[in-house]
Amino acid sequence: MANVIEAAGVGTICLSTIPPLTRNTGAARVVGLSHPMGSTLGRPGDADGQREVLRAALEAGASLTEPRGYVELPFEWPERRAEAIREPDPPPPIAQLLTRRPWLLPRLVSGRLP
Amino acid sequence: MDPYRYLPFISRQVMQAWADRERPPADVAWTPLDRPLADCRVALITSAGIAPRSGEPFDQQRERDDPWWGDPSWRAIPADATEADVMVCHLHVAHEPIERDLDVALPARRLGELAADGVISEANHRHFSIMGYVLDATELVATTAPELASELLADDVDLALLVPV
Repeated sequence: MANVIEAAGVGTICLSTIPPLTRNTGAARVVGLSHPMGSTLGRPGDADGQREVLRAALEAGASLTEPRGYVELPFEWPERRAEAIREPDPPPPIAQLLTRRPWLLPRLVSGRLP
Repeated sequence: MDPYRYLPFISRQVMQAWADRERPPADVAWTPLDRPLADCRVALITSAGIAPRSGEPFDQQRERDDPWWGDPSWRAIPADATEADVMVCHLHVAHEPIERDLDVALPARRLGELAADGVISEANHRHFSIMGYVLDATELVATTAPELASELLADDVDLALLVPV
Protein backbone atom coordinates (compact mmCIF):
# COMPACT_ATOMS: atom_id res chain seq x y z
CA MET A 1 0.00 0.00 0.00
CA ALA A 2 2.60 2.57 1.13
CA ASN A 3 4.98 1.44 -1.61
CA VAL A 4 2.37 2.14 -4.32
CA ILE A 5 1.48 5.56 -2.90
CA GLU A 6 5.15 6.53 -2.60
CA ALA A 7 5.75 5.41 -6.20
CA ALA A 8 2.89 7.68 -7.30
CA GLY A 9 4.65 10.66 -5.70
CA VAL A 10 3.03 11.12 -2.29
CA GLY A 11 5.20 10.73 0.82
CA THR A 12 3.95 8.26 3.43
CA ILE A 13 4.52 7.52 7.08
CA CYS A 14 3.32 4.13 8.35
CA LEU A 15 2.46 4.13 12.01
CA SER A 16 2.76 0.52 13.20
CA THR A 17 1.97 -1.43 16.33
CA ILE A 18 3.65 -4.51 14.75
CA PRO A 19 6.76 -2.97 13.17
CA PRO A 20 8.52 -6.21 12.09
CA LEU A 21 5.57 -6.94 9.81
CA THR A 22 5.18 -3.39 8.48
CA ARG A 23 8.92 -2.97 7.87
CA ASN A 24 9.02 -6.14 5.79
CA THR A 25 6.28 -4.92 3.44
CA GLY A 26 8.60 -2.31 1.92
CA ALA A 27 7.15 0.77 3.60
CA ALA A 28 9.24 3.91 3.08
CA ARG A 29 8.97 5.33 6.63
CA VAL A 30 7.83 3.27 9.61
CA VAL A 31 7.11 4.62 13.09
CA GLY A 32 6.78 1.89 15.74
CA LEU A 33 4.44 2.29 18.68
CA SER A 34 3.69 -0.15 21.50
CA HIS A 35 -0.07 0.38 21.70
CA PRO A 36 -2.86 -2.24 21.50
CA MET A 37 -4.48 -2.95 18.14
CA GLY A 38 -7.67 -0.97 17.73
CA SER A 39 -6.57 1.87 20.02
CA THR A 40 -3.61 2.97 17.97
CA LEU A 41 -3.52 6.65 18.97
CA GLY A 42 -4.43 6.14 22.62
CA ARG A 43 -7.36 5.72 24.95
CA PRO A 44 -10.84 6.97 24.00
CA GLY A 45 -11.41 10.46 25.38
CA ASP A 46 -7.71 11.16 25.98
CA ALA A 47 -7.37 13.98 23.43
CA ASP A 48 -4.12 15.32 24.89
CA GLY A 49 -2.48 11.88 24.79
CA GLN A 50 -3.70 11.19 21.26
CA ARG A 51 -2.44 14.56 20.03
CA GLU A 52 0.97 13.92 21.61
CA VAL A 53 1.25 10.53 19.88
CA LEU A 54 0.08 11.94 16.52
CA ARG A 55 2.49 14.85 16.69
CA ALA A 56 5.40 12.57 17.66
CA ALA A 57 4.54 10.13 14.84
CA LEU A 58 4.47 12.90 12.21
CA GLU A 59 7.64 14.58 13.44
CA ALA A 60 9.58 11.31 13.82
CA GLY A 61 8.39 10.00 10.45
CA ALA A 62 9.16 13.25 8.62
CA SER A 63 12.68 13.24 10.09
CA LEU A 64 13.56 9.94 8.33
CA THR A 65 15.75 10.58 5.31
CA GLU A 66 16.41 7.09 3.93
CA PRO A 67 14.05 4.51 2.34
CA ARG A 68 12.88 1.89 4.85
CA GLY A 69 13.68 4.30 7.67
CA TYR A 70 12.47 3.26 11.11
CA VAL A 71 11.99 5.03 14.39
CA GLU A 72 10.31 3.92 17.61
CA LEU A 73 8.15 6.16 19.80
CA PRO A 74 8.71 6.01 23.57
CA PHE A 75 5.06 5.91 24.67
CA GLU A 76 3.90 3.24 27.10
CA TRP A 77 0.33 2.03 27.37
CA PRO A 78 -1.07 2.89 30.81
CA GLU A 79 -2.98 -0.38 31.38
CA ARG A 80 -1.74 -3.89 32.14
CA ARG A 81 -1.48 -6.20 29.13
CA ALA A 82 -4.54 -8.25 30.01
CA GLU A 83 -6.67 -5.12 30.32
CA ALA A 84 -5.27 -3.60 27.14
CA ILE A 85 -6.14 -6.54 24.87
CA ARG A 86 -9.71 -6.10 23.69
CA GLU A 87 -10.93 -8.88 21.44
CA PRO A 88 -13.95 -8.57 19.17
CA ASP A 89 -17.13 -10.31 20.21
CA PRO A 90 -18.04 -12.51 18.39
CA PRO A 91 -14.55 -13.69 17.35
CA PRO A 92 -13.57 -13.03 13.71
CA PRO A 93 -14.95 -15.53 11.17
CA ILE A 94 -11.46 -16.94 10.49
CA ALA A 95 -10.96 -17.62 14.22
CA GLN A 96 -14.32 -19.38 14.42
CA LEU A 97 -13.44 -21.46 11.36
CA LEU A 98 -10.02 -22.43 12.75
CA THR A 99 -11.60 -23.43 16.06
CA ARG A 100 -13.79 -25.86 14.11
CA ARG A 101 -11.04 -26.93 11.67
CA PRO A 102 -7.65 -26.37 13.36
CA TRP A 103 -5.82 -28.32 10.66
CA LEU A 104 -6.36 -25.28 8.38
CA LEU A 105 -4.16 -23.05 10.59
CA PRO A 106 -0.99 -23.75 8.52
CA ARG A 107 -2.85 -22.33 5.50
CA LEU A 108 -3.33 -19.04 7.33
CA VAL A 109 0.27 -18.94 8.53
CA SER A 110 1.81 -19.85 5.16
CA GLY A 111 -0.49 -17.69 3.04
CA ARG A 112 -1.42 -20.67 0.83
CA LEU A 113 -5.10 -19.80 1.01
CA PRO A 114 -7.74 -22.45 0.26
CA MET B 1 9.56 -2.69 22.41
CA ASP B 2 7.93 -6.12 22.26
CA PRO B 3 6.02 -5.70 18.98
CA TYR B 4 3.64 -8.54 19.79
CA ARG B 5 2.88 -7.54 23.37
CA TYR B 6 -0.77 -6.63 22.89
CA LEU B 7 -1.75 -9.56 20.69
CA PRO B 8 -3.63 -12.60 21.98
CA PHE B 9 -1.56 -15.82 21.88
CA ILE B 10 -2.70 -17.23 18.52
CA SER B 11 -2.58 -13.85 16.74
CA ARG B 12 0.94 -13.43 18.06
CA GLN B 13 2.06 -16.73 16.52
CA VAL B 14 0.44 -15.90 13.18
CA MET B 15 1.81 -12.33 13.00
CA GLN B 16 5.32 -13.51 13.92
CA ALA B 17 5.19 -16.14 11.18
CA TRP B 18 3.97 -13.54 8.66
CA ALA B 19 6.73 -11.10 9.65
CA ASP B 20 9.34 -13.86 9.26
CA ARG B 21 7.90 -14.92 5.89
CA GLU B 22 7.50 -11.46 4.36
CA ARG B 23 10.48 -10.26 2.33
CA PRO B 24 10.65 -6.57 1.51
CA PRO B 25 10.68 -5.74 -2.20
CA ALA B 26 14.13 -5.04 -3.58
CA ASP B 27 13.14 -1.51 -4.57
CA VAL B 28 11.37 0.50 -1.92
CA ALA B 29 9.64 3.50 -3.48
CA TRP B 30 10.62 6.81 -1.91
CA THR B 31 9.20 10.28 -2.37
CA PRO B 32 11.34 12.76 -0.44
CA LEU B 33 9.40 15.34 1.55
CA ASP B 34 10.41 18.47 -0.33
CA ARG B 35 9.17 20.82 2.39
CA PRO B 36 9.09 21.00 6.19
CA LEU B 37 6.25 19.27 8.03
CA ALA B 38 4.87 22.71 8.92
CA ASP B 39 4.26 23.30 5.19
CA CYS B 40 2.64 19.92 4.48
CA ARG B 41 -1.00 19.11 3.77
CA VAL B 42 -1.61 15.79 5.51
CA ALA B 43 -4.23 13.07 4.95
CA LEU B 44 -4.92 9.98 7.05
CA ILE B 45 -5.47 6.42 5.83
CA THR B 46 -6.82 4.13 8.54
CA SER B 47 -7.28 0.38 8.24
CA ALA B 48 -10.16 0.36 10.72
CA GLY B 49 -12.88 -0.35 8.13
CA ILE B 50 -14.62 2.98 8.74
CA ALA B 51 -17.39 3.84 6.28
CA PRO B 52 -19.75 6.85 6.14
CA ARG B 53 -23.29 5.88 7.17
CA SER B 54 -24.53 7.59 4.01
CA GLY B 55 -22.68 5.08 1.80
CA GLU B 56 -21.95 1.39 1.38
CA PRO B 57 -20.48 -0.44 4.37
CA PHE B 58 -17.47 -2.73 3.88
CA ASP B 59 -18.81 -6.18 2.97
CA GLN B 60 -18.76 -8.16 6.20
CA GLN B 61 -21.35 -10.75 5.15
CA ARG B 62 -19.15 -12.08 2.36
CA GLU B 63 -16.33 -12.47 4.90
CA ARG B 64 -18.65 -14.33 7.27
CA ASP B 65 -19.53 -16.65 4.37
CA ASP B 66 -15.87 -17.00 3.30
CA PRO B 67 -13.50 -16.24 6.20
CA TRP B 68 -10.45 -16.33 3.89
CA TRP B 69 -11.81 -13.25 2.07
CA GLY B 70 -11.71 -9.61 3.22
CA ASP B 71 -13.18 -6.55 1.48
CA PRO B 72 -10.28 -4.76 -0.31
CA SER B 73 -12.22 -1.57 -1.21
CA TRP B 74 -11.75 1.91 0.26
CA ARG B 75 -13.90 4.76 1.56
CA ALA B 76 -13.43 8.53 1.81
CA ILE B 77 -14.44 10.14 5.10
CA PRO B 78 -15.01 13.90 5.48
CA ALA B 79 -12.52 15.42 7.93
CA ASP B 80 -15.35 16.72 10.09
CA ALA B 81 -17.13 13.34 10.40
CA THR B 82 -18.14 12.39 13.93
CA GLU B 83 -18.82 9.02 15.53
CA ALA B 84 -22.49 9.45 14.58
CA ASP B 85 -21.64 9.82 10.87
CA VAL B 86 -19.70 6.59 10.39
CA MET B 87 -19.83 2.87 11.05
CA VAL B 88 -16.98 0.55 11.95
CA CYS B 89 -17.00 -2.46 9.59
CA HIS B 90 -14.14 -4.64 10.81
CA LEU B 91 -14.68 -8.10 12.28
CA HIS B 92 -11.17 -8.35 13.80
CA VAL B 93 -11.05 -5.44 16.22
CA ALA B 94 -13.21 -4.45 19.18
CA HIS B 95 -15.47 -1.66 17.93
CA GLU B 96 -16.24 -0.08 21.27
CA PRO B 97 -13.14 2.15 21.68
CA ILE B 98 -13.46 3.44 18.09
CA GLU B 99 -17.21 3.99 18.32
CA ARG B 100 -16.67 5.92 21.56
CA ASP B 101 -13.88 8.04 20.10
CA LEU B 102 -13.12 7.91 16.38
CA ASP B 103 -9.74 9.56 16.95
CA VAL B 104 -8.21 6.39 18.43
CA ALA B 105 -8.21 4.95 14.88
CA LEU B 106 -8.81 7.98 12.62
CA PRO B 107 -7.28 10.98 14.41
CA ALA B 108 -8.93 13.63 12.22
CA ARG B 109 -9.79 16.01 15.08
CA ARG B 110 -6.28 15.71 16.50
CA LEU B 111 -4.80 16.39 13.05
CA GLY B 112 -6.97 19.52 12.75
CA GLU B 113 -5.64 20.69 16.12
CA LEU B 114 -2.04 20.13 14.96
CA ALA B 115 -2.81 22.27 11.89
CA ALA B 116 -4.20 25.00 14.15
CA ASP B 117 -1.01 24.77 16.24
CA GLY B 118 1.16 25.11 13.11
CA VAL B 119 2.75 21.64 13.40
CA ILE B 120 1.42 20.89 9.89
CA SER B 121 0.16 23.35 7.31
CA GLU B 122 -3.25 21.81 6.75
CA ALA B 123 -5.33 18.71 7.41
CA ASN B 124 -6.84 17.47 4.14
CA HIS B 125 -10.60 18.05 3.81
CA ARG B 126 -11.14 14.28 3.77
CA HIS B 127 -9.43 11.13 4.92
CA PHE B 128 -9.57 7.50 3.82
CA SER B 129 -10.22 4.05 5.20
CA ILE B 130 -9.57 0.52 4.12
CA MET B 131 -10.45 -2.61 6.10
CA GLY B 132 -7.21 -4.19 7.26
CA TYR B 133 -8.09 -7.90 7.12
CA VAL B 134 -7.23 -8.74 3.52
CA LEU B 135 -5.21 -11.97 3.27
CA ASP B 136 -4.88 -11.90 -0.51
CA ALA B 137 -3.38 -8.48 -1.22
CA THR B 138 -3.62 -8.74 -5.02
CA GLU B 139 -6.57 -6.35 -5.45
CA LEU B 140 -5.35 -4.10 -2.65
CA VAL B 141 -2.07 -3.54 -4.48
CA ALA B 142 -3.44 -3.59 -8.06
CA THR B 143 -6.55 -1.44 -7.55
CA THR B 144 -7.09 0.07 -4.10
CA ALA B 145 -3.62 1.53 -3.54
CA PRO B 146 -3.39 3.16 -7.02
CA GLU B 147 -6.90 4.60 -6.60
CA LEU B 148 -6.00 6.03 -3.19
CA ALA B 149 -2.79 7.47 -4.63
CA SER B 150 -4.84 9.22 -7.37
CA GLU B 151 -7.20 10.70 -4.78
CA LEU B 152 -4.28 11.96 -2.67
CA LEU B 153 -2.66 13.54 -5.73
CA ALA B 154 -5.98 15.13 -6.74
CA ASP B 155 -6.19 16.67 -3.24
CA ASP B 156 -2.58 17.96 -3.44
CA VAL B 157 -1.68 15.97 -0.33
CA ASP B 158 2.02 16.16 0.57
CA LEU B 159 2.06 13.44 3.20
CA ALA B 160 -0.20 10.48 4.01
CA LEU B 161 -0.13 8.95 7.47
CA LEU B 162 -1.19 5.31 7.49
CA VAL B 163 -2.81 4.33 10.78
CA PRO B 164 -3.24 0.61 11.45
CA VAL B 165 -5.67 -0.90 13.90
